[in-house]
Amino acid sequence: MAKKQTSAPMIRADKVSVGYGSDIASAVCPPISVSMKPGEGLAVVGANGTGKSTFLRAVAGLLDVLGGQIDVFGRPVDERTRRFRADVAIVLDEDSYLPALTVREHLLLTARGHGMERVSELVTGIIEEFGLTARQQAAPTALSSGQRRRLLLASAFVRPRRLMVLDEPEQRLDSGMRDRLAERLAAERKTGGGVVMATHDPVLVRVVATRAVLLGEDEVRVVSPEVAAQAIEAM
Amino acid sequence: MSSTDTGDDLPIDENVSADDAWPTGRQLRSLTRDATEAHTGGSFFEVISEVYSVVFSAAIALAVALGAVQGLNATITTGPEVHTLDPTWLAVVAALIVAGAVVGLAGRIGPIGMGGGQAVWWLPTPADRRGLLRPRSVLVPIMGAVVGAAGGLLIAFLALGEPGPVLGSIVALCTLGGTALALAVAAGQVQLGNKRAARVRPAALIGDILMAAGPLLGLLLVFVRPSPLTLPSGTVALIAIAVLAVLVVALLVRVDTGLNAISGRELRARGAVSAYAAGAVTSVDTRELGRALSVSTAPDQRRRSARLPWVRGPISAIVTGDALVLARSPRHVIQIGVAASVALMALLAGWPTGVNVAMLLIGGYLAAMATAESARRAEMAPVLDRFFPISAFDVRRVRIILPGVIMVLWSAGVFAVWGATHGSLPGWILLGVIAAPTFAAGVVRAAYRKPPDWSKPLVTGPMGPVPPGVLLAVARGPDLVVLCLIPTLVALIAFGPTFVLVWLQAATSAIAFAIATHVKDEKKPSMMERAADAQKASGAR
Repeated sequence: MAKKQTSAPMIRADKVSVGYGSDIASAVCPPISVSMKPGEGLAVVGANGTGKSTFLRAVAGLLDVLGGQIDVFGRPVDERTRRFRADVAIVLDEDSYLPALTVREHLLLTARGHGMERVSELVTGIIEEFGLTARQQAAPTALSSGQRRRLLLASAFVRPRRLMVLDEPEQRLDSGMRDRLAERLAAERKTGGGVVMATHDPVLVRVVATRAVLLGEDEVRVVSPEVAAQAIEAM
Repeated sequence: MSSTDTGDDLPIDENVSADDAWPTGRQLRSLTRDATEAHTGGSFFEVISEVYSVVFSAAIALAVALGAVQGLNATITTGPEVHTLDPTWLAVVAALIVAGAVVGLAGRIGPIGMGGGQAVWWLPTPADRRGLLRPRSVLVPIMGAVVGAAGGLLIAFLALGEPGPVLGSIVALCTLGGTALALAVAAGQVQLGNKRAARVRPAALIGDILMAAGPLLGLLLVFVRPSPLTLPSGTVALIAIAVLAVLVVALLVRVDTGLNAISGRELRARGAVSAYAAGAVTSVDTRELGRALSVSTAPDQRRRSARLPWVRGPISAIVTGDALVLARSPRHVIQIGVAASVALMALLAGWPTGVNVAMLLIGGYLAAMATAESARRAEMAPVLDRFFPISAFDVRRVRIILPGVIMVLWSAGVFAVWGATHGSLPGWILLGVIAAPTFAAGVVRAAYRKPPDWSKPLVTGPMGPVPPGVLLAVARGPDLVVLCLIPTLVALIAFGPTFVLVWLQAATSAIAFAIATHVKDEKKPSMMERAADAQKASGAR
């Protein structure tokens, strides 16, 4: 359901330093330079603590960069704008739900909130696709951690978007669901959507990514998905 | 584990055999406490300066209100006023609410549990569980007694209107009653033992029912106006105290001897809630406390999903989500009713005006807090505000809609009662409706406040280490309410709902709304930061 693509880069990161301190000395990895066009998938790969999630948070506008600049859709990242929020679907490594609402209600609200049509059928399909049919009337607090992860991913697919920012989407998913997610993300890319994801899953990298950023303590390399997948397998 | 393993001096008998070398529950607790206290280092003066700032801002608001009244040569109403409902019945209302609070709170937090690091490190050890749990089991009757005593004082003053010989009996009865209620909940937990908890915890349910019964009884009293209750004689009170004391002792023995029976699963589940709540209390974070008490550890919660056909676009989606969260949280709905009781009880009992005004402010903020659960959730999980195609600036404004609507209704009702007892009914209702957004603005501001910085050296306090800046964070929200309600305060204590004060309140309500919905541009330096930079630059020249 990706929106119509344009030829301009979706993401352009120019010598971007990221970290949780206040100056560039607190950067968690060397500067990152990479760009991504519509229809591409960018995997951010590296060992624990190399700054994958931190970089992703900066792309999502949830963390200021310490140096350099990130443009998303040709503008400096500003996640506070309506346009950014309409275009970018974000799934991070945190449980984001309202405990009083059921699984189905979360997805209905998200879809209707984005002005989608034929919402009931759409939500039913997404729920089925993410294996939540038996749990669609349950509150998120009653779900397993893997099911909550599925709910968050489903909420990203039930709405229109041009870019998906996913932090380790494979986390807590069983192997079957991982495979289906990989196919879904590959389809997203092929229909002109962009996918940027931090991941430890070589299958996801091979199926979804068209290029990868390999983060290390001393260097950052932009590599092919195969090289990135092999690097993950060697970790 | 031995002293050489850790490098610390464990208070363990060196002469025991290897099999007996495990520390007792008490020794484990002592070791953990010492390790925690080793990480503090912040200055206690930081906390004192925060207290000063908070008290100072409140004092300024009071001084402005009183100054305005005196400057206009108006007479400050101090009361006591004439009571409009029988105080003894109002005391029963208060007793129901206090009892509900004790039972509900005890039921939600366990009352006996073990959470966080303690559950991870202590429960798998062979240390005796009774030794580990005893401090918590001792705390249960103490907390029950404290809440009971405080409630007893309130009830006694409501019933009697002034200190007297019966006051001691009432406070003693309530203290023992609170203790017995808390222990009864703990005894129920012991009785449950290894059995799986029900979907709805009985104690939490009973607590909610009692608390809901308070405001309902209050409403009934307004219509029925029953004859005053006769207070029990001294002999009856003494017998009741004796019976309660025996009951407390029996429950204490039952709980203490049954501590080993509570399952690890139950201890972990209740401990998760109580550790969350305790963390919120020790860091003086009311927002976290609300979240903690909303945590459900029930096995499953199924309900039929609403179809939500009226939702069209982000604004209606957010408001609908907020409304569903409130409507499906009985605790918060009850809280709104209880807050109305708090706001009106002193007024109906004929207490002095100053107390009535304070109770009205507290009640209003308490009610508003119940309506902002979604905003608090959204602050905790920022992605919730980013689900919809709406800017950060607008989403904050939308989050204030539900609290605003509820508080308009709440204030209209409460100020109508105020008007009925003071005259100028339409004026008071109008003033209440116009003042209502200020309460909503305060709770939304509080919901989105930044958490204290735990990376700085912590300050040791009586309830454990706290981060610097914690009190200023807590004051964020209530500060806005107090300052922006000054016109209403002036009306309440002196002038009544005059045309000028209503307009002034409209202006300050608008200011409160603007402040609460303002989203700081983190990328742009603030006015203070710009001033500091300019000062540095001029110094360099």
